[in-house]
Amino acid sequence: MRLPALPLVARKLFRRRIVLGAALALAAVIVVSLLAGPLSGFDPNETAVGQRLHQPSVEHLLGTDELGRDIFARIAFGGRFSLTIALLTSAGSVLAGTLLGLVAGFFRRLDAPVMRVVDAMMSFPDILLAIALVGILGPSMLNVVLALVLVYTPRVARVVRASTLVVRELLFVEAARAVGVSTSRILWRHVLPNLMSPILVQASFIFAYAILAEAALSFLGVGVPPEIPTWGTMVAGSQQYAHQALWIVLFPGLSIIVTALSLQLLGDGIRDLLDPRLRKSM
Amino acid sequence: MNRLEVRHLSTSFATDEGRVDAVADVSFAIRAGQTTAIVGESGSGKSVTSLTLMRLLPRTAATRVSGEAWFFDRAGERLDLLALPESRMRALRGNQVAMIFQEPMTSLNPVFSVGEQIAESLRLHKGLDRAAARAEALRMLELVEMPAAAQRLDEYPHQLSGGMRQRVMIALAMACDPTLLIADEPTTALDVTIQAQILKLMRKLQAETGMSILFVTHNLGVVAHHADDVVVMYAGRVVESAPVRPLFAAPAHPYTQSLLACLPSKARVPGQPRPARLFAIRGQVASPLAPPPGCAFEPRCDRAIAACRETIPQLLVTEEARQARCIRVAAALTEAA
Repeated sequence: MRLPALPLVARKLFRRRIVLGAALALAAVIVVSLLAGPLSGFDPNETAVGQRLHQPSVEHLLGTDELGRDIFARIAFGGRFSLTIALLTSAGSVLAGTLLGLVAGFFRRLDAPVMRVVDAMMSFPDILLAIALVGILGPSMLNVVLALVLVYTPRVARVVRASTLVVRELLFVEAARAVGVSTSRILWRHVLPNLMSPILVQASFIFAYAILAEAALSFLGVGVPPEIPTWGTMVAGSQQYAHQALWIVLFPGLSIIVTALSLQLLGDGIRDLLDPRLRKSM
Repeated sequence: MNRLEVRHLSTSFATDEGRVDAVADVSFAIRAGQTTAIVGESGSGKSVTSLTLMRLLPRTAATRVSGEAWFFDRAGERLDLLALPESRMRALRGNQVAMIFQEPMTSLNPVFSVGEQIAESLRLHKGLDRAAARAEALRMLELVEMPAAAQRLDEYPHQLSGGMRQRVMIALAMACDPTLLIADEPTTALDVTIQAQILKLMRKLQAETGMSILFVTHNLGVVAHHADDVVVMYAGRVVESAPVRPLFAAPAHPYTQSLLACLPSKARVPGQPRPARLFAIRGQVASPLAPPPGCAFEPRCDRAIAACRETIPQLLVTEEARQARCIRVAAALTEAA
């Protein structure tokens, strides 16, 4: 699929200030995470007992935590882990969900079996299912990703199935058949590219959910092991000091909020841009 | 020589209210390089006939198809389209047998440029590489007289008008030089000037390539100008078939007679400034779920008699290459004999 000229799409997308703001905030988060080392100048895991719970200063931009570690460095490095987990979760569940949804929507025979399993999985509250899965698999970054992929796959599958049902009936699918195109080629080359907009929107929403879910899991102690800095483990580890040093929960918490909110707003922006019913009002 | 011979074709669908015969015992032939038109109103089974021949009916509708459709391919081999394995059918579709649809607005994939869509068929059937397929796609767009063809190649369907899209569909269908083109109401969705252009284009292409055309339509004016043979369908059955001139000169079946009487030109009486009120066939097509026991057209026929309600009349040969399905035709034939 060739996308229409990007600058025009971007211009349309960013016509709304809030979407532009979200994109800029997200870009800032990503840049800070990528340049974590040179920007902060501290090792995120270097403890300095003499500098416990220092408040934000010129030396420690966002203060230090209960072990004297630089919070800015930890947020920047933690961002790498949080964003990686969210990215892998988003990619994994979009991949699996698209496959399931496409197959269920296109082949009527597979619809009921696949969708009943999906419904069963969706009947669990998200975070509860994730807790149970990580509980079984054991806390590690990979297991958190696996658990979240399992939680979010049904969501994507439903959306993709619904869109497949619509696209499948369009005349160009029949026209492709009339040209002698095989079923699998119709599925991949003709149906799938037409589902890109709902898939893209789901991907951005799941990215946001995954950031929150990782934080929640880590906070509850069933996520990433505490020695790896993620935004979730930072909030979890420092909660008991919050009443004396607000900054040690405030800044990781803000990172989570800003990132998740930006992703949601961006996802909204993309959805509005791609939804023909809303396009006119923009 | 015939390109396609359809014999006793029947198609039925399962519905909640029972099995419905959409097409019943339809037989006709298409001569090589000629155009056969299937004419009928909505629900007469003309589109189902064309979809059955292409084997494009949805598998989900519990479709039952019987009969034979002998297609004579490029190599002169005789193939039954209805019995061919799916893989061989797929190799024929778009290659030797092509189809154009009624709706040019939705029969192109919105996310691919028109060049890519034409190229897909060429790469599939002719095994051309990307560059060769693109060059050939451009040649096809020029063949269908697409204005600014080189520029259109990279445009998307939404950038084209209805007429241009139908040209693209024709280019797509003609890409592999088919010997049989099935055109299911190709001009219905277009305005009249564009209709005329598209029909002219199809005739030009037919003259150049010698392909046969199965033209499905409800437009008798189009039939008169563009068809060689005509098959009139009503409620899933052939009620009359004849070469175009004799059919228009002397329609044998009351349904064909009524259809011709509906044409606006018949309402114009010489010497009167305003045309008389247009003729309309009263009533509507009987429900396929509860077909009348006798002649399906009987409830709407002005010349119906009691005997019409008893059995379905036979399709009888009246003259050379002419057939009609009416009790009066049967009576006239026995009288003459």
